[in-house]
Amino acid sequence: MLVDVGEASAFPERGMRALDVNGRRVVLVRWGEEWFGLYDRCPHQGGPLGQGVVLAGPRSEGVGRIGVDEREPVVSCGWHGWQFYARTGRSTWDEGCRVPSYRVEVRDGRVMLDAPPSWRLARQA
Amino acid sequence: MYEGPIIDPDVHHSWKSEDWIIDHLSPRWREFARASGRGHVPLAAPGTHWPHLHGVNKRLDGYPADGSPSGSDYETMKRQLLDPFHIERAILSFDVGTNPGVFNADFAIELCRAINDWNIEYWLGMGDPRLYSAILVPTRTPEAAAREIRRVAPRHGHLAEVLLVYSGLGKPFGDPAYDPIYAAAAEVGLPIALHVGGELTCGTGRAMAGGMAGSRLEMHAVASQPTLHHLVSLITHGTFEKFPSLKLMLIEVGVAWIPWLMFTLDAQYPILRLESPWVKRLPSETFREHVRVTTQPCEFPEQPKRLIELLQCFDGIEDLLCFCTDYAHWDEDEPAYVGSRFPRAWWPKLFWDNAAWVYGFPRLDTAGRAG
Ligand code: FES
Repeated sequence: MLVDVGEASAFPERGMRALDVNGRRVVLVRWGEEWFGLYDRCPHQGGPLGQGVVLAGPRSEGVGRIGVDEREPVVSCGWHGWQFYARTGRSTWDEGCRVPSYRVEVRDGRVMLDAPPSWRLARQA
Repeated sequence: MYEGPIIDPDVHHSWKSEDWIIDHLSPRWREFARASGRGHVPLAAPGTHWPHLHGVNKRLDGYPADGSPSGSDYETMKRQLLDPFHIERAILSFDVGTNPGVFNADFAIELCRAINDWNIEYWLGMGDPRLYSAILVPTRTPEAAAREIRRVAPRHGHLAEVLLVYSGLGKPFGDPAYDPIYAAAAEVGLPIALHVGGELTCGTGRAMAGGMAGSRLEMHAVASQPTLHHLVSLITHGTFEKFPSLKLMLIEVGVAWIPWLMFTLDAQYPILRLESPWVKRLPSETFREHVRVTTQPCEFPEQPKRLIELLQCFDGIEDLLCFCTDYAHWDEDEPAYVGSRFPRAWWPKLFWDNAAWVYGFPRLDTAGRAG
């Protein structure tokens, strides 16, 4: 179910914003022309991901050499700095650890987040 | 999830502007502090700095909306820490109290006085019964530190501890040169809180044995080195024999080292006690009787039970551990998360009773309420 979460031009070109979508805290990430949605709760100790920073993802280029991958933005939690790929919600270092992620698209200048139907049900209950 | 009241022995608070402290200096030192014409002289020692992931040692949402320093705003602290986590007693312990490390020893004395006065007036004057705080002392001049303890302690009932962060004399804290501080603390009935950080951040060159770390990860993993040395020094110098009522809270050194260090001390004590004949009991007995340890930054092995198994190697460990958050630093711990890693049966002691013993607060009543 697509939910309109605002005007695309109102979002910073490279950044994120925490929003309330049907009663759930969601982080909306914009990385140039790409848009991503993540659940706004860090799987580590529950910190608000949306209070962290978005940056180009790290890429190991061998021992002692770290590169960045401009195509893979990561969200760095504002508490202890755990990092998650904005695209998938996966942790940058632990395959088994991830934040729920949601599809986001822009239609006619509006940002639409694909919210699971269960959110609406939870809200109605 | 633990839902009872919590004592948090490690809450970092601050001033919104350094002018607040400078205004509390005596006229001569106020002039000194502002004499640079532009800005003012630093109110802390020049730091040794390992870069933080986000450029600051704070959680990023900890900054008040008005742009003032993290920990400086009561409303923010109330909203993020005191109210949601049921913190019934927060021990405010500055950020992190390295101000006595300023190079001018006389200025350090005056600075501690000004900070303590401001703290009583501003934070303790807030009237929130949950707020308690530390006394900051100039450790390079132990006699002056003792005078400051005696001056300030009677002024407010919510001064809960004497905070030692920076070993001003460059000696471990058990050195008899520091005894005036312990004598004064014992006299006014306050515990000593030993918080990690002075050696690490005051540019002392004593940050860690083996040489300076090359990254924050490397540094952070061994950051407890100086504090553990201070603990060993206090025990082997007989500080607790000299001041039998003295209690010590170790802050921000984690907990997994306890069995290792106590086993080591106990094993070597019978052989080497010749040098410490005044230490009448096994070091671990002194430790059990006088010392409590806060959990943060808690070790979190993949399987939580591994930490418990390790800790239980040291008998009575559940009587020694005290939860703390370290709000609002970047590596703070969250109560529900920490609680989930420890046995439920330990919770009342972990979150309240053990720290209550240190600070002289009543224990939880039978219904788990704060007295
Ligand atoms: S809560 Fe997000 S990194 Fe710890």
